Amino acid sequence: MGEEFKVEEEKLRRTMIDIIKQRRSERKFSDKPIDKEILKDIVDCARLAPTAFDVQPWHFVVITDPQIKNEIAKGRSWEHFVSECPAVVAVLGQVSFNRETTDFGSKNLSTMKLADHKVLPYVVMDCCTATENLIIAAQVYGIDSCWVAGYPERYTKSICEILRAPDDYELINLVALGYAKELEKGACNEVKKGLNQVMSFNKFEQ
Amino acid sequence: MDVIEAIKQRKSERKYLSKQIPQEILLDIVDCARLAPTAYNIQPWKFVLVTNQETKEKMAKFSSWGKFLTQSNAAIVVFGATSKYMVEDCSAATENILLAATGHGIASCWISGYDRPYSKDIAQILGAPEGWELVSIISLGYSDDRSVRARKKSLDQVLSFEKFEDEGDVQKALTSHREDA
Repeated sequence: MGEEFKVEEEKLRRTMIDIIKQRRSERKFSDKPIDKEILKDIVDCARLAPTAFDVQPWHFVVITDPQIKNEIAKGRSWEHFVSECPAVVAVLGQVSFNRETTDFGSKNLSTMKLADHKVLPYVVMDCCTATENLIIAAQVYGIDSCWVAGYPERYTKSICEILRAPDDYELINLVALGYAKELEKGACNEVKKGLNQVMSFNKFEQ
Repeated sequence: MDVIEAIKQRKSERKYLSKQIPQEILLDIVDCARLAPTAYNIQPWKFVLVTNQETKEKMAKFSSWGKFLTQSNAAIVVFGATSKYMVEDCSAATENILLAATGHGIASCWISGYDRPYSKDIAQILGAPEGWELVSIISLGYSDDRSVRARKKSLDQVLSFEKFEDEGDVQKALTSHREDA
């Protein structure tokens, strides 16, 4: 391996780590729209997230239509920024499966010893993992985000209806995307616990 | 390779070289985990960094598919404090671990999930008290990068615009129907 490779490697390390550490939720976005090709590339990163048993139980809906954004956001605590951001990504999870007809990528779920009720926790984990990939990929493009919604929420069903999701899919996460207003960037920075408060070696420590 | 490419090319590796991961890199990886998004800033997580071989062996006994844990250089065990967004938050933190490892040139594999038959056993081995649940275990190590990636659904299969079954799909279907005819 040549010097050039080492330099490239070092560049990747610095940028990946910096991007992960500098990410913050932003809730005030400028009007600047997000290029459609960038939105697609961000979702492309989400789709390549790790997924238990390679099930890939997700579908991503990118919403830029103001009317649909308003419908989704109406009456929610996050209404102001979800209706105003240039794009929202709804991450939907396939919470129930027809083992015969579903395409599970490279694995056939019917051959797995996986009880039906155990599928659901993985769906939430997989979708949240994809969501984090999406958020980090957005950050690479200089696009800020705020993750709203988890699973289940009071509004899970109604948003699924707005998005015309099939019965076997439910809303797991929503992500607001946009370029943060320069002057208000970092306005909602929250205090994070220190590394020594959250990690320990070889044993759990309170 | 840029960061987007690195995110896209990340894959699970289950075979590791014996080369040690420097401790400051392991700490940096956990540092990335702790900065993951978390609902209401609750940060309901604890990360146990396991490098002790005996502990890894004890953990590996509880699953048939986690045996390679003993060959890994280190494992990070993510515990969540029982709460509404525990799974969401800890999954995001886990993905940060995988991405940070990728950034450091370290291979990884996400083993285990939430609510498994052996969750309590792992909690016991590591001395996690009541109220803390196993969410994930990640094995880490340097690798010679030989695994084949699982087949992934294409972007077209998992993305739509504005609605799940968007107008575009309908239009496409109509167009192809016309073409068929």
